[in-house]
Amino acid sequence: MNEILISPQVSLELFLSSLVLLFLSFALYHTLYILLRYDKNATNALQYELEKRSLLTTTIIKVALLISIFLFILFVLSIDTLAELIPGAMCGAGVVNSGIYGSLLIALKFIVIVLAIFWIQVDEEDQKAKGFPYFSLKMYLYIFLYLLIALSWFLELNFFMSLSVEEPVLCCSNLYTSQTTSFMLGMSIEEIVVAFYITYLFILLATYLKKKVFLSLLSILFLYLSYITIVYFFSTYIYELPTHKCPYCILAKEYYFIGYFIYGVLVMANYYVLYGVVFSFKEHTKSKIITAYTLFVVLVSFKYIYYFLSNNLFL
Amino acid sequence: MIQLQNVNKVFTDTNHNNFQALKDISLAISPNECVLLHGSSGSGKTTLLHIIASLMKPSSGLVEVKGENIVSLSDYHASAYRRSTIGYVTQSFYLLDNLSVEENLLPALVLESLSEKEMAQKIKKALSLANIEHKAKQKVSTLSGGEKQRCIIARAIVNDAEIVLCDEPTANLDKKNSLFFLGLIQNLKNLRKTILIATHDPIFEKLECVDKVYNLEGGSLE
Ligand SMILES: Nc1ncnc2c1ncn2[C@@H]1O[C@H](COP(=O)(O)OP(=O)(O)O)[C@@H](O)[C@H]1O
Ligand SMILES: [Mg+2]
Repeated sequence: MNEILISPQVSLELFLSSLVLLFLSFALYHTLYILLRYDKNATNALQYELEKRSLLTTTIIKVALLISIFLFILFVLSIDTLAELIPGAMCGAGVVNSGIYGSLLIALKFIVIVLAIFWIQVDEEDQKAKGFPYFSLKMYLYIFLYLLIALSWFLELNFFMSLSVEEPVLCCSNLYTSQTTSFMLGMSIEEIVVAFYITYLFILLATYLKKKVFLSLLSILFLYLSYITIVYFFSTYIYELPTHKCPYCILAKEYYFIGYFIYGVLVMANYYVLYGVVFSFKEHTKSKIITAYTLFVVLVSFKYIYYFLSNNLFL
Repeated sequence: MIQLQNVNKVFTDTNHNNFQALKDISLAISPNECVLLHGSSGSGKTTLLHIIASLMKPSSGLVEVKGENIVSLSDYHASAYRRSTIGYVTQSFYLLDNLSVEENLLPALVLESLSEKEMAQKIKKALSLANIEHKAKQKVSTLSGGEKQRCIIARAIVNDAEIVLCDEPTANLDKKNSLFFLGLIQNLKNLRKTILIATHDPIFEKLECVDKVYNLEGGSLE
């Protein structure tokens, strides 16, 4: 048996996420059962039975999704402890990069969390509005979410199985490099940082003007830019080490767990955008989007600006 | 105001035995009508009232109140409907014994965002309509049966419900208090409430304001 799989954190994480997937599969069966028969104008016994069944199903989904959000933290922590088992890995990033689909898995989990929070909100709105106006949105979104979660479970299993305690890895191997890499459209990292701030300003503008389509596109672009700038630029200021390019260590105690705030605020920002785009774009949604993005930008660039102001130079 | 179409209620026990408590009930009640629902014990009166009050869902059928099928309401809207539209006079004295009469009316109001002054006004009005104002500060456990009944009526109307449902309201009252209750029903009728009374007490023949009588037997209307 693979030493990784039987380590306590990983086996607990895998066990719990399998359990959650089991519940979600059960709920998926009922979701499909309901969707095929639902007719909201009917008053027959079948329809009332379906309405009861959908209440039960959505409750199961809600609880399972909440658990899977907490499981993400467990996942992050178990990866962190694996760094001690895998030769060469000094932090989670080394572990993530040494297994197959590591980064894809993290990205997928991020999307799942945003959509899971969003699904819970849709359910809430559906119960509060009269006549279940978001019923089909909720059901179809769940099917999509289920596919993502099942995929992420499958990738996770493969990921953990592909890790080896014998083969040494280069921690942050492709991250720990000082040579200039080019990113999107051949831009340098400095240009990407400028694009990051400009996109931020456009997001504020799009939010202010309530341009939903524009805002959704910008938020996806911003998510991508955030990842690159955090890894290759902002984190180096947080670590105060120009060669330490890692999205992971900012979660560590040494850096006051700042990473949890950074990623948490980013999740919330994307969630509010989703909320604003799908539901009413009220004044309070507007201010939540603006606050979350601004907080995120402040959190990531604080050390950089501090460093820049106190030394008047770049790293 | 209230319209039922082909309402059925089937109870299933733990051995999967089915018992049909209501069979194809259809009825219509207009605003401000006072309707009697006669029926012997076990005929399904309480079940029917529970369904109209959205305390229970039927197995099938349409239950339309003010133009809306209340069966399909979410829990959130079902409780809003109960709070705003339904006053329920229960058969047993479901009261909080250790609290005073006026404190017993508070739970019906706390979820509405009212100021304390508004609450006090509503409570005062309901207590005087039910003729129990003089006992407002008295603990419920020290009240007589008739007074408890009036307390329940005050609670049923404190939220200005348009529909008042009474489940065997005179079952625990003596003759004098039962007659007094008939007077209160007359008052509610004058207040333009829609009233549905489930009973098998012949004393209701004395009630003059009755518009309609339904007979429920073995779960079916005759
Ligand atoms: N929750 C329940 N489960 C099973 N049977 C019930 C339930 N509630 C009521 N019944 C049955 O339905 C029938 C009608 O009950 P009910 O509506 O309380 O009659 P009534 O109020 O006219 O005396 C009775 O036979 C009763 O035993
Ligand atoms: Mg009864």
